[in-house]
Amino acid sequence: MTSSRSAGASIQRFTLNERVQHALLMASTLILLITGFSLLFHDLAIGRWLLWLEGGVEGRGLIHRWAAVALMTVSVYHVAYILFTERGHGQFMQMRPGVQDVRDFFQVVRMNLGQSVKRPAFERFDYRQKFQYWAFAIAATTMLLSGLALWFATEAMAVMPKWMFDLLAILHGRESIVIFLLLFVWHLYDVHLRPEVFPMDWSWITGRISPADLKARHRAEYERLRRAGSTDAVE
Amino acid sequence: MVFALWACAASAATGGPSIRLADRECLRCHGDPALTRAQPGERARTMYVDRALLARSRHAQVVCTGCHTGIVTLPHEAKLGRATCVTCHGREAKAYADSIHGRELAKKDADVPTCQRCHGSHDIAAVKDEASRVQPLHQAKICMECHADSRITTRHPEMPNVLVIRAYGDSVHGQAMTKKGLSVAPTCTGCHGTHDLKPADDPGSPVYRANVAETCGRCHPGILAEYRESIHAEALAKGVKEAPTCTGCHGEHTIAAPSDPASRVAPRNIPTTCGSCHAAERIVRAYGLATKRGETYADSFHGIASKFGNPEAANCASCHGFHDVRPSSDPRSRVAKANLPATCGRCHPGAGVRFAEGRVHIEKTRESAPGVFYVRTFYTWFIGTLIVCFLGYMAIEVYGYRRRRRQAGPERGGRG
Repeated sequence: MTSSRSAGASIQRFTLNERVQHALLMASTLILLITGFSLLFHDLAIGRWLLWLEGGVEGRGLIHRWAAVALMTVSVYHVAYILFTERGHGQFMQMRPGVQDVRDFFQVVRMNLGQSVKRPAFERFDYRQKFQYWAFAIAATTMLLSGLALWFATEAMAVMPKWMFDLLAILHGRESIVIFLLLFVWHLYDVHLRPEVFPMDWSWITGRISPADLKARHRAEYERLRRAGSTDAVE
Repeated sequence: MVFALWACAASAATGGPSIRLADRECLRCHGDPALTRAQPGERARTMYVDRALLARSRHAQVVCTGCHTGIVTLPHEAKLGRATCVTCHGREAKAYADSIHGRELAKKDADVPTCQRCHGSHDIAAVKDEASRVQPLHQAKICMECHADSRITTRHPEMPNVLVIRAYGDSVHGQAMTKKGLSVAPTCTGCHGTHDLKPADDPGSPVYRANVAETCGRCHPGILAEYRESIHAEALAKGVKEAPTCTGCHGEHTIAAPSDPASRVAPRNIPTTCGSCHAAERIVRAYGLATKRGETYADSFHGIASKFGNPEAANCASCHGFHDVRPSSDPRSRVAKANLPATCGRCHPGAGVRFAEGRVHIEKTRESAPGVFYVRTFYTWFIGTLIVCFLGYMAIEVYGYRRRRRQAGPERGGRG
């Protein structure tokens, strides 16, 4: 198969390794959010019900910490993937934010408001995706660090005053709401509800994207691949 | 030891001791099982005396006329007064006369228990004797014959509620008695007194508020010594009527071991028990107690863990102490600033001097916990801004998409 026009022709967007990373990240974060919110909203009926479901505060804590271990594992793996694999490093370098992303953002806003007809030519990752990646990376790091202090409370108490401990507890709870917004409002909109991709961008499961979609959504990347002669290759 | 007060009444009514008579002369008539007495308007009552029963009793050596006074001729008068106890048991009779039972009896109340009602008559046994009706192991049953009988309590509305009385059976004291056979556990008289029994609102009663601690301390002297050091005991001694004594926290007839989840002092129930005063606005205001202790605790890790059933989570007593509780301003207090590292360290061995900086019960105000306050305020604005930005961006994209579709016309439709 050499033609991108043929039915089923597609380009690999995410490797299996990357899709597994995403799946693990998704599963661990979902569990963390559910078990975390049952504590955050323990005053509400839904919180009490969730706590009961998780086997009380003890069971909840256990699940939450195991999920945290999973999240830390996949995070450490991800950093190693970036540092030590060529593919990972290459992907990460394309994830770096730049001035172009700010320009793209304003161009899209202008276009949507009808002040321009020019659609920005996005590279491999557009500003929405970069925002998603970096915002989550920062939020998850915040959660992991504050969470570790709360987990190893006795050790943490030896080095920090109580007010800092209280502060971390509040921070951990509030930041979880930020993560919820990032994932359930921003990310789910981006990959499900956005008119361009509705009902879903399947690439997170299949790992592939059709040349037509790639051209529509990441024109700069598409052009680059075409020049390199690889858009016709169906891997 | 007992039959007392009847003595006073009876001998007054019938007058003087009996003539000297040998028991055998009494039993000539009373040894006949068929002997009955029928007073006008009364059902026939047996006047038979079982010699064997009498011989086994504590009073086997006491002659009939020792108790049955007023016999001057034979056959004696148709109706003698009740058997007299005071002749031998003067001290008990005196105490009884001053008790709530004795005082009510003086008012000719027929429901009031006399000596025989509790101790039995011809079958009387020593209190320590297993056969005695008032032996501690089954003494509660005797009291409950009247105090748990709603027919009697309805006639006497001033008597305590039947359910309150019955609760004793399930209490740690009642269970010690019935399940474990511990006769040293307190039965009714253990706390309320015996012959001199008085209502709880009588200053002479061992269960009068000011006397409760001493009464409990008779069996729990170590705890009493600790309690005496507490701010609660101090306040009570100063006449603060709300200050708790033992029963204020532990309950009375319902008293249960802290390990019993139903106990008022079970770890999970402690916040509610302390809160019944420390979260009561009237008491907090009247005595200038620290405010919002309960709600700040409930919102803490300790509070949540305790509420959802972790018995190891710290409750009020874990940090403040219980019997010896003292305010943080007192250097002896477990929550005095200097003692906090040690107190926290009991569960969190790492907690050092630095940890004790800052407040423990933090409120949602800047003064109480500035760090937490600023983080909370920051996130309120940050989260609000995020929601507005996300929804605004989506609205713009959807608006642009619909606009482009409208302009492209129906024939193109499709994606923007």
